Amino acid sequence: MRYLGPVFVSVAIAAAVCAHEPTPVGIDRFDRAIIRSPERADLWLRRAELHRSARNWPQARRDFHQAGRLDATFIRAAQLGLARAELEAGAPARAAAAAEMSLSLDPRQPEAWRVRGLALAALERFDEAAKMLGRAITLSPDPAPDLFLARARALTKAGRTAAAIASLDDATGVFGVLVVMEKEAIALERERGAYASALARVDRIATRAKRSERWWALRAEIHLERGAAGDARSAAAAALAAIESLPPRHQSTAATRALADRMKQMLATGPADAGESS
Amino acid sequence: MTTVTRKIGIVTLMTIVAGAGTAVGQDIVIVPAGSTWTYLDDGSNQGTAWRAPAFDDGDWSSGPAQLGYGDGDEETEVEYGPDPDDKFITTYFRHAFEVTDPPGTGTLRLRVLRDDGIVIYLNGQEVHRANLPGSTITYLTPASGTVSGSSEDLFFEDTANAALLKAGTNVLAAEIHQRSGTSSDISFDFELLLADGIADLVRGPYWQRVTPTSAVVQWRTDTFTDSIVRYGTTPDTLDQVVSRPEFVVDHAVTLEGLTPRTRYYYSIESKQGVLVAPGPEYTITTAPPDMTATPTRVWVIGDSGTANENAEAVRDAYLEHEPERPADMWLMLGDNAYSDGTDSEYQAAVFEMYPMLLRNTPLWSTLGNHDAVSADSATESGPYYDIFTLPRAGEGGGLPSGTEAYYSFDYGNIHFVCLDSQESSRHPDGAMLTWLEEDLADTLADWIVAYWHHPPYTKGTHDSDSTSDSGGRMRDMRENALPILEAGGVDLVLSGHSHVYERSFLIDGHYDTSDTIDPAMLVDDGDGRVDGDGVYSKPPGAAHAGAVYVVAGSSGIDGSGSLDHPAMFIGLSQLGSLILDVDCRQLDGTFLNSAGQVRDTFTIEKPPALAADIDCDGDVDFSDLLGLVSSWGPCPLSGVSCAADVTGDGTVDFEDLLALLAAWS
Repeated sequence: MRYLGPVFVSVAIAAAVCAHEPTPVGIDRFDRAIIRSPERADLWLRRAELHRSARNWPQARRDFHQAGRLDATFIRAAQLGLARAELEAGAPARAAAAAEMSLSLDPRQPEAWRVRGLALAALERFDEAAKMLGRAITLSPDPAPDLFLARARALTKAGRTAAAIASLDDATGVFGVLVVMEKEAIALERERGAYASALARVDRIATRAKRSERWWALRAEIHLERGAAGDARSAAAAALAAIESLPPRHQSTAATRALADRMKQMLATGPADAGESS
Repeated sequence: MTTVTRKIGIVTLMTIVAGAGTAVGQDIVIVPAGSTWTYLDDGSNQGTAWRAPAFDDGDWSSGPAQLGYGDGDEETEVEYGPDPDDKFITTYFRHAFEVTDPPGTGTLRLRVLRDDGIVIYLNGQEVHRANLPGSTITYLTPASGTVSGSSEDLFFEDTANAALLKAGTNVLAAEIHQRSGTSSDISFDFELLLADGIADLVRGPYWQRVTPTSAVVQWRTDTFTDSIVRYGTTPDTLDQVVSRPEFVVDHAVTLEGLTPRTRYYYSIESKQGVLVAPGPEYTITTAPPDMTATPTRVWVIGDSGTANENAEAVRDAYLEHEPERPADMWLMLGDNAYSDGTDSEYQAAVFEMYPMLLRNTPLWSTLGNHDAVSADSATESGPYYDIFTLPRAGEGGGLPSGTEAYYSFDYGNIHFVCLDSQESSRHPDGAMLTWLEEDLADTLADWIVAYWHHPPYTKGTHDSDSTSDSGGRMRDMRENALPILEAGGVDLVLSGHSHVYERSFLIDGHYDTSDTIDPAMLVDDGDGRVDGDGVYSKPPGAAHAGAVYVVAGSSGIDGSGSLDHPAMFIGLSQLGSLILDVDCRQLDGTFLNSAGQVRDTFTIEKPPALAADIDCDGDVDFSDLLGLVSSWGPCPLSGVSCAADVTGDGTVDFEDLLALLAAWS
């Protein structure tokens, strides 16, 4: 006898099961199953998730609650699902409460921390939100970029710019350099006047970019903002050189032409020797 | 105590056993069902120390399996405590056995009879859990569900790595959890076998993240083995090898340092032997060098995951259509495995549906709503994310996204952008759409093709005007993603979800419901056909110059609808798939139905800056001259210009040669 293993067995079963036609959403599949076995909490929970996905909020709420009522061991998952539904439905207070209940049953759920954090951010409780999102990041084996961005934005709104930038840098530690994080950090660095840090971040992106013209342009803007017109002009010239090195079809696009015009304008104005960088 | 002595190595496995070990076929029984176990049935909290091999269970009771109470079929009846309405939740079991010559490799088969929940540890390491939460459990954690009826007599199967066995005494520890204090029964028996060790291929091989210089090949075996891939540019000379010593069932090996646009032959092996021998079907061709215009064929299927005759018909129609020109790559537009995107559904709907394509055609995918039933983009977990290896750090040439949920890659001069319309934030300020804007601004490609599951325009089995349909995802993508894409110069947008085929005119700027479409949004309101109103033409690299939107969601299931979205030139309730052919100056789309009939075609043309730049590499040189000479004579379609027809009169002749020489750079 050659052993085929559980994979093979499950495949054979799946092949038989999959002979039916799928429904577009699948809710009716669970409608029928629940009529047959109304005592099964797992069916209510799965239908609740489908209703959540379809944004059928009343039905989703009803099914999540029913799953928890039928079987206490489903309360944790049902409350988490409910929290997600409430958040998506624009009811952050209810979302936070449901997430909290789910976490009281098992505090090691990154998704529940994430939902609770986003709900608190929507309630403008930014410090708490940042903490919750931090827990989600810590507990998640593979945290998504959105999570870092959400924490950074909560911290920014809490007035904690340095912590927000640190959060974005945490993302760099996980993912490597992501333009999404760096651009957010550059904006924060500029807001707090940390131009050297902002420029360093621009350089970090530019060295990895296929097209450097807009990063040279951003350098020029930052130099101008910090009053270093000479450096701004140098960066503008570099941006123009980068544009000229593009294939003709990319040089001629409206966006590239507009960028070139802005850089030419920058070159044509301001004293060349003012505000040089150290 | 059971004693198993292996006389020879894992490779042959034909001899075996001394002591109590016996062979079942080629499997070796290490711990038979009905063995004697020590057990603790006093309802106490044993924490975690009891799982350790060195734990002293000398004061525990013992008896042969089946152990339990309440069914009447137990060999050994255990206690449940003084109150039948408040039975102990957890009962502990241990069994020691000797192994004199551990295999070091291979797979253990675990056969478990349990009622209700169970966790099993081998030498202190968890090897099996069923009917209990995946998180930390205690002695008061009830089972997640009941076991009743015929399931009470079933031995459930699982596997574990045989490397866990050690020379000398090995210890199994198991904890059975009641569903509740009032539940009537528990049962436990267990059998441990060493599988024959000779792996069989049960999935793949299939190719992921194929770039100009690297590729990932994946496959699954039915037992734990190491991974060896041999490859070379001829079937007889597989002179390069990558091996990974870890014993796994899901194998993923990355080949690096490859040559662009090169066909490699390969074999898949383990130390035990060859799983896939080299042959004409087992080849992979790397992507062309970055930004190099190369004739490229892409097969596109959407909502294909029915694993039934519909999917087969669509597949077979494609395979029989121009078999001499196979696809260079392959896109799945989501809902790849109905109904829940489970691993077993993927096995049926993908791996058993397209084995011949998987072994030689790079496959890329986007997440559909059915895939998402069992997958989660926030944590990149679940079968979809386990099965696909997609770029997250710019491995394919796009801007790093940090996630496999959305990503981009280059294939020659085509930039492909995959978005996640199902689970990732679709908010304009979210990570995905912020990344999208930057990604498009960074590409130098001639063509931009974007794809995701939920169509921005459809009047098929879904209605993109409805804000409640599909949770508003179609509206979100239309309102939030399309303005970024069109500003970034997108040429073609592919989606599924609606189980029909719909194809738009060349359009731009339509971000609201269908009743708001303005004639000015139809950049070209013709059919886009060479032999009809004429091809759609747009300047290279231009923003808001028009894009074609295709819904190709009928590759496994067909439906209907009004099919009257005013952005669409055509709508069809037919099973089928889309074939894209992209060259430096032209993109051709062909909808092939399941009967093998071409039911729609369209072409987008981008004239190069220099008419004589036949190969679109930015200059006019010897390669263009070669291209002209090889195309000498009338263009294939009578009266219609072709690439080498520099003067555009429908014929490649001396006038074109003179024009080319005049433009020589």
